[in-house]
Amino acid sequence: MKRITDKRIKEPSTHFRLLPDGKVLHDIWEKLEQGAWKNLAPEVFENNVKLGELNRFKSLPVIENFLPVSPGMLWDENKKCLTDPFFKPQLQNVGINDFLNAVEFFFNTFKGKHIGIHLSGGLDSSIIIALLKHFNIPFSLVGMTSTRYEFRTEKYIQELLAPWGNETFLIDYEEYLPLSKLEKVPPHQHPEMLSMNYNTSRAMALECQRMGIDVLFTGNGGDNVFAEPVSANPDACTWLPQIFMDNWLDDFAYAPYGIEVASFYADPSIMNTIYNLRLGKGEDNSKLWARQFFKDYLPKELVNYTYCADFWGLYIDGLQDNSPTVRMLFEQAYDLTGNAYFSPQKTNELLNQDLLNANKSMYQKIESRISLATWLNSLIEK
Amino acid sequence: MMKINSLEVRHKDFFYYFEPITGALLKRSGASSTKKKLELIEKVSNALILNDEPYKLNMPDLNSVSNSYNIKNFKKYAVNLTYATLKSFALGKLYTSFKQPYFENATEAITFYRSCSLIKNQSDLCLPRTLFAASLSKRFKQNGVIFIGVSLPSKSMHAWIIEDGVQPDPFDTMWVNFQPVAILY
Repeated sequence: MKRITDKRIKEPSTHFRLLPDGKVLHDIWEKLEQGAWKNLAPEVFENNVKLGELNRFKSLPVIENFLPVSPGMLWDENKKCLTDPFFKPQLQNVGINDFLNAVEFFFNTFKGKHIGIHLSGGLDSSIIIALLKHFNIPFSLVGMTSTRYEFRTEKYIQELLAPWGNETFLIDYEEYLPLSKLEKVPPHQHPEMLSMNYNTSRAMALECQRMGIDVLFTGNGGDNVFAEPVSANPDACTWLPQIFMDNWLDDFAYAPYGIEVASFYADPSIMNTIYNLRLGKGEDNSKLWARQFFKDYLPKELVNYTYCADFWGLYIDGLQDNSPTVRMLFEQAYDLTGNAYFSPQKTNELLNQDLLNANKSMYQKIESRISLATWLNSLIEK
Repeated sequence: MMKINSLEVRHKDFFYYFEPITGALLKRSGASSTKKKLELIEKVSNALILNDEPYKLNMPDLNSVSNSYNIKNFKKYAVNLTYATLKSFALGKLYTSFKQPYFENATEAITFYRSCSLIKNQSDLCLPRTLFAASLSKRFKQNGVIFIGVSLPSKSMHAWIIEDGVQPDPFDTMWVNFQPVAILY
């Protein structure tokens, strides 16, 4: 197995630590070429996925003793392990003007660049769009759209906000479902769940490039800053801005096309102001506070509305449509590794379940295995 | 007894519809079975529009919910109705026909059902909860509709109410993902 050097994509967002001492490795390409990929622990990867983003610091190595380190994670030299430090807010008396000042400062750091925003039709990205409009900053809009019933509100909001952009382009989600074109995922050093969304994000990146967009703002992180409880004690803050970004997709899908992805809600000043504005407030899954706070900027449909679509339908159809590729990737992984985890029997056990059942733990197992097989496939010289 | 209409839903090459006796979701390929357009009374067609355009719904007024009801009889009714509905869709529906409205609206009735400590695993009880609210809300007959929906392509099903331009259950945040396959009114 050889990597394709000329097609290898830089991964600035990731480096590695070699356990047990924690020696820094900027990449592990050489180790992979020497066969480190054979010492794969698929069950460990599956367990890491189950731990979730919030507990990713507890993840164990999947390939030999190489532990991937994502941006924002720190190495504890005493305990010889990774940590994910929480955001440390500063208590301040703030109001709407302080928030607008923080936002204007953030936008000004991108002065002279062609700004794009991910037009998802949801609340979080719509707030950014509304604020850019408030400051008369020109922008373009690009997003995935779906005619599926559950996305009817998102689609309506997309249509409502589309005229606000200098140029707007909506991509049909059905053409770029999750798990599509897995065989095209570029060589990457470590298995990654986000590889299942590579084709979708690449379609977005290509459209951004065509529109001349330099920097793309996403609404990622809105779920955290608007919905999670805000303790009156700033030391109890559990926000992790480093997980607001999908760094892997930024490196692999966007950066190769010259698109910088920026997280509005991970900006420290914006986060700090929202923290103080929501100080002492409890969990707010419907984001009622944000809807009221931004009511003068948003379309009324977003102010009064408190629901959002789930993505189960897209994932289930994505798996159904791409199951021949998935089976091929599993067979190939079994040929390469000889690991029983990818055996035909295990594949049948996994894929002969009722895949129409939106069961999270079942899908976590399926998606873990797909990510592993996709990673192995990406390393093969073609 | 509440009337029921089945609505046909298409996903890819299949049509899905609701069997009104058993409460089962059935699937067919081929042409649509709807021979003529369903003629719906005003309250149903209005609720269907709101279902398709949920951002036009009003929020339930939780401040006006009263706690001063004589609860004993309704607790028993809630438990029995839940049992009957879990046994059989038709039985649950039949059981509601013997009740007179008591609560001012479906929001009050649902709040009562959700607070009923005798009924566990409330997240799986959307159908008995909506039947309970529909049968005891004073507003339902005039301006309420129960929807039974499916989240395609999964076979996951869900029930909810729209009454007086409100989806009255503040804890139900998932209903918007389900496409109606049946209406009860």
